[in-house]
Amino acid sequence: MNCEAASRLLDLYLYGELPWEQEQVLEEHLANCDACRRQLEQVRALHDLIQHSQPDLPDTVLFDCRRHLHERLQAAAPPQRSWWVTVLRPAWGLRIAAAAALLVLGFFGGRWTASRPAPPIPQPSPDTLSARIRFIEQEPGGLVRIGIEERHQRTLRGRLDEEPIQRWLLAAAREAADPGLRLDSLDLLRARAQHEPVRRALLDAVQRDPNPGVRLKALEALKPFAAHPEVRETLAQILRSDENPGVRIQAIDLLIEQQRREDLVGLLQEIVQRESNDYVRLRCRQALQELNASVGTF
Amino acid sequence: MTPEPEPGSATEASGVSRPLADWVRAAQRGDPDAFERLVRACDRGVLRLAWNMLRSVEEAQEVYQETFLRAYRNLHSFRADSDFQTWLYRIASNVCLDYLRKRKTRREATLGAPSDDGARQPLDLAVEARPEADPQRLLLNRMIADRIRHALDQLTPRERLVFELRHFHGMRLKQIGQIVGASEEAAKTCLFRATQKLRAALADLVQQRSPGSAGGQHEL
Repeated sequence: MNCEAASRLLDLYLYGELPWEQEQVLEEHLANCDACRRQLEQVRALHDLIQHSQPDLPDTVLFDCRRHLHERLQAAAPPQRSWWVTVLRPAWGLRIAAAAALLVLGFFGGRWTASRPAPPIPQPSPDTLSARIRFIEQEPGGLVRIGIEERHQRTLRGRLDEEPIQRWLLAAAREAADPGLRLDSLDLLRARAQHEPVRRALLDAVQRDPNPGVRLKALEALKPFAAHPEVRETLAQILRSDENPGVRIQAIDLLIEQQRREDLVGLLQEIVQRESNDYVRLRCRQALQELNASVGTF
Repeated sequence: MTPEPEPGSATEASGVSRPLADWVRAAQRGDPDAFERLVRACDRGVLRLAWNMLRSVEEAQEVYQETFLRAYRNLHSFRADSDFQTWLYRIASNVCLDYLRKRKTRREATLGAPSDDGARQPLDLAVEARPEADPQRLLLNRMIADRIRHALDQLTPRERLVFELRHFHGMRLKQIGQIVGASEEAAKTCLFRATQKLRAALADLVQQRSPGSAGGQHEL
């Protein structure tokens, strides 16, 4: 293999898309050709550059898309059933016969049990339109059991300072599966961050929420309380341990705003030593300069 | 709190991930929750594909909606033993290509009018206004990103799509072939052409950055 042929294969080699034999021949060539090895490194660098050049969309765009799609799906007709589902379903005649049998059973069963007290059966209501039947079982004595899964949606309306509304928002901030809902809850709750349960929820979100966008939102809400000892302690903790550099930098910004150097300089010096992310390290150095402190420890 | 499942996170030997296959069957039986679970398992990648291909937040959002609504309407035609992600990406890819074609037609129709190419989306500015932003580094990154974006724009829509799926979504050429409706070999040729064009257009970026660029080097 000559250098020109090797050069043409480098991208596919890095993608792991060369056939085994071709890969072997290329690797033999690379082992003996400095120039091609350097070129391989350049191609690798280009791949990395392209990879990191495309900014991701903020999560809020994704959440908006989901919300909009959810609304459109609610409005859309149910999807057509798959042909195999249709084929596997019992034939109409059989289904009508089964329904008639159930009616007969129900009629005689009802007569037999007429004298026995029975709990009232809820009447079908508009709610049951959205109900889904989960099972139908026959019981001895001509009774029929129908399992219905119902979905009830309720709307609550109230002011932010009303206790039930706040309780729901706190629950959503902690437990909603959708990060968009957690984000919305925190956004509303930040106006009440002077209250202990809300501040506690914000601190929890900063430390435990799996979504960095939500953690950033909680940090933003904690900004007016950055001088609070517990908040500072939490900020120091996430500066040491949060996996997201954006969150760590936000923590630095909140910490230095308070201008309390005594406990901050040591922390920033520690982070400069151990931090792997260039931006975070740079921000720590800048912060130390702003505090007129040296970067290293002596 | 349970993190969202990633597509293919529990992929079996058959290539069909277990939760996805279960949700597909439930959705085909008419369970709307199952379909929304499918959406959440795959939608991040679909939105990213649309955003990278179109570079417009508004169009990316439209592609997202169109893709999942088409999937919802045509779910009955999906064979449960095939790969849902491949099927979904095929829909998303077709919608993206439609948008690129429409955009080209619009551009040709308004030939001579000022182009909006290179116009900076508000989002670009928002992304760059992150707390870690350092002005000098930001400017350099922005120049490099613009160069790369311009080079990607020079690819044909098909080359762009194949490159996108391989480079940013890490898909194998076999799967990419299934998505774009071509053989694995044709997808490979397409990827080869795309990478050669990008190397030619962006060679100076890595030669400037590479520490050993003084001599004895081949041209990219």
